Amino acid sequence: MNIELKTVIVQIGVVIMALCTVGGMLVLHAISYDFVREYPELAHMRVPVLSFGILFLIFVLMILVIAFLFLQRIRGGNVFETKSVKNLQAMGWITLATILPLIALYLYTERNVAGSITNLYVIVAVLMMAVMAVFFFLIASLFEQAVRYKEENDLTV
Amino acid sequence: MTIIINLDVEMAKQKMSLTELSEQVGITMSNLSNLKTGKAKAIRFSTLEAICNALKCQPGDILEFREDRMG
Repeated sequence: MNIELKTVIVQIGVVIMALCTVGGMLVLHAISYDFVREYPELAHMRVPVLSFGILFLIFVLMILVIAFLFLQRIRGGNVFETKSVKNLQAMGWITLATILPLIALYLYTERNVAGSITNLYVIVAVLMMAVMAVFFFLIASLFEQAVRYKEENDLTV
Repeated sequence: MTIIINLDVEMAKQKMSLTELSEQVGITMSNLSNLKTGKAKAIRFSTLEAICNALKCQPGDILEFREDRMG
């Protein structure tokens, strides 16, 4: 399977994931009303928790958009460029930013429903995002080095 | 950069144009231009050999080391 076809398949995957993320926002919105119907005593938590969730998904969507553009560059055959390094760094920073609404969600839930089991998932998500961010920065620094090598190679007469 | 490329001097001595030199050496005009303007970061021995052959000179005639003077 050639690289072009592989990249197209991954790009299709990214688009599907982006659509799922948008769908996730709508589902989250609908679920929040069901939750309030089930637990009216926690109705005051609906808007803040929904906001944290949607903010998290917006960040995920941003990462997916940058990933799509990055894959587009791979398809174009000019991946070892400074723009690619910037893309990867941006993905790293946005991944780190996703941790903020998660921490806010953790603190808010802990304050209102102490000992909530769902906070365990939030902690796992925070750790996952931190690891992902480290990987993005690692790949960005590798690309930075590769861009330097390529430049040197291109300028060798 | 402290290594100076004196390609234009040798080309003038031999009355050779960039196009002629690129044809004789077998490298592209843009690469030769990079070398001439000092944009190139490295030069292969094979390229140097071909340039010396075409311009009938020594590597020392093309490459010159100049110490950087600060201030």
